[in-house]
Amino acid sequence: MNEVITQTKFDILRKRLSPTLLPISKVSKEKAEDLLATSDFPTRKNEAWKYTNVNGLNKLLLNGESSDLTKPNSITKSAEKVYIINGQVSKDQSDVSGIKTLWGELPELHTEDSFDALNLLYCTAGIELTFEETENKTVELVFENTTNSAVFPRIFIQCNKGAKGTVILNFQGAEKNASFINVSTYVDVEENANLSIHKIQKNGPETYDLQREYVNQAANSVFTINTFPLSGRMTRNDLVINVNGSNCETFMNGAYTLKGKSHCDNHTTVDHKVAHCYSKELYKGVIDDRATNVFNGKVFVRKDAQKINAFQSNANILLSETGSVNSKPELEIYADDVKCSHGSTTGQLDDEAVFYLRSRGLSEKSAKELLVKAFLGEVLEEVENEEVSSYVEEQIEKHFSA
Amino acid sequence: MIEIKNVHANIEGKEILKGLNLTVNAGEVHAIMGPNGAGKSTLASILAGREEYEVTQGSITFEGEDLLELDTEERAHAGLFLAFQYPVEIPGVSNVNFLRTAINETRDAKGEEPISAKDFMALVREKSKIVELDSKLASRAVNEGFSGGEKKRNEIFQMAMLNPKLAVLDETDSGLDIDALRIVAKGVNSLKSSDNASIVITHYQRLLDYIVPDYVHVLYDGKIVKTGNKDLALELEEKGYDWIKEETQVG
Repeated sequence: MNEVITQTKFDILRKRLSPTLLPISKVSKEKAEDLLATSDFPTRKNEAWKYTNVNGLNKLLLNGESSDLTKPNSITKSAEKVYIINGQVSKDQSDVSGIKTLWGELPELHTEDSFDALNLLYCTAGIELTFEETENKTVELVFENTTNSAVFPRIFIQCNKGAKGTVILNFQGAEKNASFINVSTYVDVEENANLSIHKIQKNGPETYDLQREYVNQAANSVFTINTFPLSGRMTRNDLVINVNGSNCETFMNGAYTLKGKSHCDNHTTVDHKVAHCYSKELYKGVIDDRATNVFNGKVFVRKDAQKINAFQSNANILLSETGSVNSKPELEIYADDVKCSHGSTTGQLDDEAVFYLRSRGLSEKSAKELLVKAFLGEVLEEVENEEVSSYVEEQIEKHFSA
Repeated sequence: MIEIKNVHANIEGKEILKGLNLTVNAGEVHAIMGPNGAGKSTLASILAGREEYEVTQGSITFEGEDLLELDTEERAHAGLFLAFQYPVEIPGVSNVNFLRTAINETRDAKGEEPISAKDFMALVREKSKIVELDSKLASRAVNEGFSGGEKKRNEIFQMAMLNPKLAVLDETDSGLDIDALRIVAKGVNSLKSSDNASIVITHYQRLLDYIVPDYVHVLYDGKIVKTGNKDLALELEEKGYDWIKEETQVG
């Protein structure tokens, strides 16, 4: 009797990954195994992955080949830092209060997402950051990726009642890096807490970086996330924010610079479940060469969530004729007393402005660079952490001089 | 300074300039007047190097160089300045920052050192006074939210900062009230020297009450059909352009 054995793309991928050495519960393991057994890589038919094809993951060699990283890689001077080198927590760096890297057992798997399940089964580092009520501190997680490897960190950020915290997730890939980065980040912002996350994705040119953040906000809290996909073969960010308490403020900003064959996909969801909240989202980027960008921003306003102010904007500049953008704002509003808006634009640099600057003596390159910096500057103005904004600004300049 | 010889120019296949000749020497102010559609803005555009315009015949020599061979920014480096009829608003780009880049790229093209921050700021203070431009306005985003008059004053401020050999003022008087006009003209006059020259393009004689030209040329149907002194401008103001058209057709 012949049995037809079908092998999924996940099966192929998993053969090349090493199972996690971190302790995970039997229940979570079974759930993750089940999820992966019954799913395959998303295809065009899957609405959320319509424009993003991850088949290239199975072409990544993950062979440990290494290349050099330009140093220094940390962005902040005074922040507490944890270094995660090629997916592994660098041991001598992790002995600080509020930073946990050793586990009796990792938290249970809560989602139905197959990449989250994959992250759990092959997790290379578990990091928990806790911010206490009286604190106002900054922690930077520096991910240095120099060898072609699987980097699967699982991050838990706990911002306790009344605490104020800043987290910098700084991904730095070496010059020729071709890694598979798969990150799950769980965030809990308690009542009256204020948490900011700055995420820098400065990946190697062949790196695939799939990330998801699950955020829960309690009443009277403020949550900000600034996302900067600056380089890499593919970057996918799934950001889900549940606003569970009233009087919350939520800020989502993003700036991206794509060139070559880069593909970047930002999927964001903010779910206003209760009344009297404010959310503002601004994503802007420039797309050169054959690069492609996807933006999908969902805003839900549930039935009893009255007096919600929700604003969303995505703007793109195409610097080449071969780049492309798919931008889709989605508002689903079930309450009647709300103020919501969204806008999406994609265009070229203003030729008249380029000509004007050139007529004053700027080269075409400087004129375009100046206009792009001004365009992305609107996002950087939203970034309170000056070390982060000046780092990103510097990277934008480098992007043009390269 | 500049010698324009038998220039023919097209836009989208339509011939606008049909054999234009004009010579401007250092120290001179030339006014170009003419009815709508005569080719005034086309002249300004080909001097600045707008790519939509194609020069099909003739030559333009600027300070001994073939102007038509130079890119727009190279023309600026060589000392040509165009004051735009419609200055562009550029949100997010600071006026002074971009001028500093412009000055430094011009200096770099000449093999000179960049201007120091101190000297640059002193220059900003000095030159913004010429056009009574508030120093706050000078630091704001280029033309963003400026009134019509402020935009034109900003053009002259930029001209003062860049100190060109030849300034082309394209309908700088359009949309200006009398006070703004006076300030703009005062700025232009104060920048005048025996080493530089200007071409003032205008539809109306009004501006020429304030910027007194050495020569007035009438541009009609792509050519200069009449040249005189400032009295020609007054005659045009009084009689309009019809008599020129008739004279040209008869001729």
